[in-house]
Amino acid sequence: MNRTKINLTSFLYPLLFLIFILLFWEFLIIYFKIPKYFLPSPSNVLNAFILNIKTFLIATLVTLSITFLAITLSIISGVLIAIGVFQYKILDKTISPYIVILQTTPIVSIIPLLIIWFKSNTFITLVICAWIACIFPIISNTLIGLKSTDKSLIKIFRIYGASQTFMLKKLYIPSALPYFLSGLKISGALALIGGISAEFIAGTGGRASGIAYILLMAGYNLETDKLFAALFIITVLGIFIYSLFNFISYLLLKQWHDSSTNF
Amino acid sequence: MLYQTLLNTRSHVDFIKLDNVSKMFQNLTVLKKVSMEIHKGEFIGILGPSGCGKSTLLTLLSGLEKISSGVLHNNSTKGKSAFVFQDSCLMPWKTLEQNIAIPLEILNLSRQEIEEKVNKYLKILDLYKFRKNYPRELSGGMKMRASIARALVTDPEVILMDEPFASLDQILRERLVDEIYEIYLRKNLTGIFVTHNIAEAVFLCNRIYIFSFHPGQIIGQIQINKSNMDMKKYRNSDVFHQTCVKIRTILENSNE
Repeated sequence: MNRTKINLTSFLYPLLFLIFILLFWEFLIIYFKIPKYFLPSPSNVLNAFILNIKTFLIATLVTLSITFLAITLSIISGVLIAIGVFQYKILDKTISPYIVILQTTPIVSIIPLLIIWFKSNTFITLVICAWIACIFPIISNTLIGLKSTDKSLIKIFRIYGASQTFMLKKLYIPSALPYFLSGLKISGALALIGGISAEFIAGTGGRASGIAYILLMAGYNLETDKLFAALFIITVLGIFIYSLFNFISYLLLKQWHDSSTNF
Repeated sequence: MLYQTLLNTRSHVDFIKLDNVSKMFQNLTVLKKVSMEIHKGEFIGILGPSGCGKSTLLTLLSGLEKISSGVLHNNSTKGKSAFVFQDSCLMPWKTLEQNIAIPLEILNLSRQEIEEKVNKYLKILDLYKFRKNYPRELSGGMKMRASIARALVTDPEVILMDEPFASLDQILRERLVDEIYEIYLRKNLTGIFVTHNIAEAVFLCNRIYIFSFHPGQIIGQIQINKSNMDMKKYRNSDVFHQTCVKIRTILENSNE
């Protein structure tokens, strides 16, 4: 009973607050007669959203496909790199500095280079940018997880002569799972940011244009209502991606990990 | 009576022997010239203050660490040693039965064999009802019993215990000590039991080695004579208390 009440209030209070803000915003626009190109009212934004719904839908799908492709690539490559670095000291020493470089180099600075290399396929450029932006938390968190495996459990496995592959499968990887999932939540948001930033610079148009391109064009054309609608979609996408990974994390950890007592 | 009969069947041939064994970690000597003999079927206690190298001694006996100098003979069958740690050290992502089954999976036993053995020890340690539960759903005592079941499930020749009851309350400790003792008698185990608790060691062990503070050296050895004695009465007997006082005196003198 109490739990239902808490869940309801945690949903209801932010919603009521949002409704209040929107109404107040609408009132301010009408009262001060603020021009639409400077600050559109929520009803203008909704109108722009409905009028351009098809364009928004296609652009959202493009942005989502860039984001999820980048996340999938970073999960595969990030986990493999983390396991490799964990298993082989030589690999750790050889590639660890480059992993740090990957994180410290601003993503925008390498976009022009990628555009030169993949000029015939901007989609690949965008995916690579998003991949570079989101791989580091996967590598870093998975590696910390692998290294944090309970030392006594390692001793137990070793005392019975477990092979390294068996230990990796049954001990190290499950032990690193909460850390990996925590990294995945960060990576999801970073992939979206990386993809959108890249699209801003690449300025890709046509059929493969994502939500950032609409945002950019709306800005150039002073279609502020459309710009707000695109901004709203990006925000919703960010929340959707985070919630999705949070839910996956909850499903995988709910039975055994303290971080997943609530969703 | 059972105790006496079983004790008589135990061999007095050296099962594990350490001759002037030292262990160093870089420049730090943790164990210095330790010599001891452990006979098959004995339950040996290792007592000493924190930092005397008791746990290091167990890792040497288990083969997880190599000795720095001296000679260590271990005649137990390879893979027939089991470890019980201070914490239960269960894998939180596996159920109780999956945790207990893991040594058997490593040893590559068939599904049916694994199931039979796991169920047997789940029943012995009164855990069968909780076999599908995850460790976080269980009490500290249950987790520790599961840890003991995991150690026993391979039918080990040697069981190495590193302060296994340290985190439990007094009543639970005594109950688990009783359970371990019963299993020890039934299974003809050789036990090496590291503890801070003098009473536990005196109750459980046939012989106790007392270690000095850093670097760990043997400063005393006590043979415990509890033959013909009912174990419930033994815990409240004069012999039991006198042995405890004797060990305490050795430890106190070593600190001066």
